[in-house]
Amino acid sequence: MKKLFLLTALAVAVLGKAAFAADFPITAFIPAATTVNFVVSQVTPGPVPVFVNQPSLNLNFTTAGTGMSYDAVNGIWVGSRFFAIDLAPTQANGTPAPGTYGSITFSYAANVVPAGQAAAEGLNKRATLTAVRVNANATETSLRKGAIGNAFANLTNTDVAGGFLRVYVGLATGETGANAIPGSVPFTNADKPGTYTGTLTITATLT
Amino acid sequence: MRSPIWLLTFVFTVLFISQANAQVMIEQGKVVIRANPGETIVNTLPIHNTSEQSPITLRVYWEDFMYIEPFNGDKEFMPAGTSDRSASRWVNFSPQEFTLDPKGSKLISYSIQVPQDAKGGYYGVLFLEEGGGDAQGSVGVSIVTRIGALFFIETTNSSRTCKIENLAFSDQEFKGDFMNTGDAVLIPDSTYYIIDKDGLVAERGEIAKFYLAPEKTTAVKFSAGDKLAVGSYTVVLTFDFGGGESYTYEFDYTKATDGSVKVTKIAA
Repeated sequence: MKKLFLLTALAVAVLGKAAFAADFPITAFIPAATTVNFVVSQVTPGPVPVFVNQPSLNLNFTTAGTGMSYDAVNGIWVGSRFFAIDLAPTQANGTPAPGTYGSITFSYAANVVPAGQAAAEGLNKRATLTAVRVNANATETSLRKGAIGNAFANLTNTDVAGGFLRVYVGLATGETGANAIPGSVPFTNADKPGTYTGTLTITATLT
Repeated sequence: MRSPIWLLTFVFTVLFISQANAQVMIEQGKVVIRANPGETIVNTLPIHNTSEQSPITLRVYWEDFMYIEPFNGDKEFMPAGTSDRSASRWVNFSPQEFTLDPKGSKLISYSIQVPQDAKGGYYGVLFLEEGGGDAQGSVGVSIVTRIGALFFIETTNSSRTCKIENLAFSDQEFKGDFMNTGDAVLIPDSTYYIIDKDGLVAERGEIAKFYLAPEKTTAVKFSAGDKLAVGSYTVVLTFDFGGGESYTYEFDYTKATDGSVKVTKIAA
């Protein structure tokens, strides 16, 4: 009888201790994923610019068959459209949101100019890149701007906190003052006629 | 009457939601590998097309990268095999081009054969690139979009060492030169404590994040506790490199009645 009591006491002690020791740590780890969404829109200038989604990643600043048009007042050639590139993944409800990238960088290469045009006088100077943060209330905050050939800006998620990153790509218009784009020059009659092309690479990584 | 801006925002939002060009997700944007010299690592990297509309054709390739000044996370991407700490010759991956259906996923297999004589950190990025066709029209730009998974391949005998020099005080801040004297990139979580003569923490804070390549130097700065009373203090800086490795730098200073600050002792 005494042995049975001791055994029962021991079992209660062991089970009791086991019950108190039954802590199950729960761990979940989400890796630092990198996501980014590139949405390209063709923008037709006007009092209210019109955005139209463009599936292609080729940005043609001129209307097919007509080329650029001449602005006699300012003595420059201008494009018929520019483009907006939004860099933000959509959430499940479709709301644009900053990506989980750490940084976005831009680089420009493959500058092609017509025969007779100086190699360094192509779209690298005559196209522009303007980066803005689109805020939650749809207003825009300028982040940086310049000729596309100098588009080495590194933008981080901190730059676009509270909104998402939009990059406008267009031809230089020669504007001055607050709207001037540093390093850019518009096409004029001094430029050789022909084809001007290049490649803009947008890179997204973590830091 | 509704404003044109409201209408524009609505129209654009609808377009944005319904017509995304592509949405690529790399499940691990940063792959950190600690390997023994001579070891072979084999693993996979999951890739997803999180859009519902369009298939995406992606080209996969490797480039080198290194952090550059001002060491705030800015990187320079270089062709494979051209950086001082390139791992490109050790890395194989497959496939090198594939198409992801909407909501589709793919595993990129990779193997890394770390040489016997490797020591320190070696860095590269596996890019997934979309686009890059010839620009159309007479005046146009072709857009190439790429998203990368950063690879940090560091041997188990890597040296994570550093030192601080040229400690100085100005504009209510302590400033010093932080030098990476080891052979791996340092991305420390950095904190400081200012301790008064009674041994109590009078102020604490974080030092701005930096990403420092081997053999490079960056400035670190932090508040000298300008609201602290006149007296003697000890400052303890801690740079946590992760994996149980850290560097501690300690010095004493006095604050005089005229607000001047003088460093009295450094004990790194």
